[in-house]
Amino acid sequence: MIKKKLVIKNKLGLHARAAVKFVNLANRFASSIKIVKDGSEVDGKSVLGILTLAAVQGSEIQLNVSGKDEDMAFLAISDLIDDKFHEKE
Amino acid sequence: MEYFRLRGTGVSPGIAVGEVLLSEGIAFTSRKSGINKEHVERELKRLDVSIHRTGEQLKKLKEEIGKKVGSDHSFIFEAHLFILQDDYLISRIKEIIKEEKTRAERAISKVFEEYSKMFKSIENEYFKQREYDLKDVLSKIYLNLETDKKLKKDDGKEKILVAHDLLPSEAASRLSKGNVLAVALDVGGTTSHTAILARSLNIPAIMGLSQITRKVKDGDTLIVDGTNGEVIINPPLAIRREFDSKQKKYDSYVRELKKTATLESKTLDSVRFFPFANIELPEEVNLAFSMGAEGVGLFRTEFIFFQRKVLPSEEDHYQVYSQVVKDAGKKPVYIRTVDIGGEKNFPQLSIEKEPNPALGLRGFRLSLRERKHFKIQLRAILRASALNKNVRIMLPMITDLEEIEEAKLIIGEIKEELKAQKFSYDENIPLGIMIEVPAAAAVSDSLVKEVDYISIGTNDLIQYYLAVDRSNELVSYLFKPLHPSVLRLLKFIIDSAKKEKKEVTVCGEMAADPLSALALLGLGLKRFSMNPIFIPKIKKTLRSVEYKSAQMIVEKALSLKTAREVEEHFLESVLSKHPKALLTTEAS
Repeated sequence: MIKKKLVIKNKLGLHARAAVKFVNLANRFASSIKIVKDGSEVDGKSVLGILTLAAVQGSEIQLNVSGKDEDMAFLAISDLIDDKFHEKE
Repeated sequence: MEYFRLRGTGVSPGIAVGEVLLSEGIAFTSRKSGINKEHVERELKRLDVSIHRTGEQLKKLKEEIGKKVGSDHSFIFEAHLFILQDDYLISRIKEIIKEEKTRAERAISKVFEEYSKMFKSIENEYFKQREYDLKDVLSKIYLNLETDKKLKKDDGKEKILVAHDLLPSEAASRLSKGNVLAVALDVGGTTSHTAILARSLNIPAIMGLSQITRKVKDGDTLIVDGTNGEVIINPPLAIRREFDSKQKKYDSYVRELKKTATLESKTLDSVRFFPFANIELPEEVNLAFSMGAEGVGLFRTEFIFFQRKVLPSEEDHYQVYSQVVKDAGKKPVYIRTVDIGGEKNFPQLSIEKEPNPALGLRGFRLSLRERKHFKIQLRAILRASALNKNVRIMLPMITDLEEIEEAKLIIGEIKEELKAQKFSYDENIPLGIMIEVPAAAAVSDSLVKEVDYISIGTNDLIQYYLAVDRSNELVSYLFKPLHPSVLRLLKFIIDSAKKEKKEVTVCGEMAADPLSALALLGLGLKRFSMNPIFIPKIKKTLRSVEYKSAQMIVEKALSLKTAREVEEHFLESVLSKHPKALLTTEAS
């Protein structure tokens, strides 16, 4: 299992569009992907779950990834977050 | 049925009485309808069928809206599809059906309550609002559990639409069907897309009713008084009668105004004038013409920016302009380049907060700084000008001559570009400016030589000139369009245009006020641009006076000392000469 903390950098945070991109990507992996923020954990493959986190710009989240392809999955998702979900700002 | 009243903001005038049609979002039930063990499978099956059906609908909607208004608007349906595919959500519904042995309807409602609690505890407004996306999806699933439920809802009968909020695309499709008597919403305000649409379609509407969706149900009787911003739920007979007669009065008033719309725009002594419309949505064009508009005197373009999360592309602009231009036929369309800044901020351009936005980076000033976006807009306007050769460019917030020269250079460059790229455009497209800065008014005699026409934006001009913020209650009493100083300034501007044989229009609220419109006529103005709903009223006023007498009345007014004197003089002399001119009683 990989556990790592990341900061949401894009201006709009984990808003609907970003959440959709997140889930889209998470679904490509067999691993279980959980996001923890302020003590609550949600499934990284659930758009609704992600939205209820209300992760705005600057929020710190923890990714818990576990499964056969956890390395690939973690890398891909942290890239997406670092790349600000391909948003301009 | 319980009788009570709710207050909100009336955003579109008129009165309607009718039955409630609650918009889908609020169909949830708290009734626990237990089922036998053997029926659990049946409920699960119903749920699956409904989810499938909902998915198909969402895909179709996504495609349709994508085609009609662009992918920015269809994204919402993509997000909804993801919610629909959310395993957590769906398995939770199934869990409740199995554990509680209850119908799918109740399970959906319960899941909504669970999530709703979570969303409500969120502070951030954006994320809090996502509750309505979930609600939207769940209510679609709910409705799809019964195949014929949809039919019952969409029986085409005239009803009063009650909803939490309407998405722009939803508002357009529902209001344009012709069976919505009135609109009552929990949220929203005067400037929302739905409000604008309701006004333009003459549908009474009230917004900001906070919880009306929770307080009424299908079949309740409502009175919607859009003029006063009041909703009356299940009114007793006496109150119903009172409003029935109010409604009749209002309807006949509107009918009479519409009749006026078809009459010739000429004063008693046969001087021709032109009523134009101020609009901001392509959907408003036809309504404006049905009210008697002889052109679009001001097409605002800000909504093209506000509707999107990202900056609009040339195609986004072009689609809007080409529709307006085509609908207008041969009638002129004055497209004003974007007037953002001031109080109308736009997050995508990350304009810094200014200490005094009214005197800051706004209108043409901002366009010059955001030259790239300005050029995108101008390219689209120029391309649209090829269609009917009826387009005019209008620049807002011009202060001096050099700005006009700069604009001409940019337009020249764009024409070259378009020519090289084999796009066609109207080579002689007229260029005009708004006169709304007092300095521009003072040198309007020299500015007008450089352009094809001028348009006086009286709202801002008077605010700047009198140094009065109309929205500031402490000083708003000083906002006096008929102040002698204002009349003298307007006279100078209109005379300047006349001297150069250039067209001059007024596109502020002054044009929509009967007394002020008479003053403008007396000053020699022939082009009046206003919210289309006021056109019949103004036309009626101007048709019942002589141009000559208006001129004489104004001449005297110019020598008076206070706004009150001017007003009294006007009322007195207009009424003695043309008693019918101000008989445009508004029904309340």
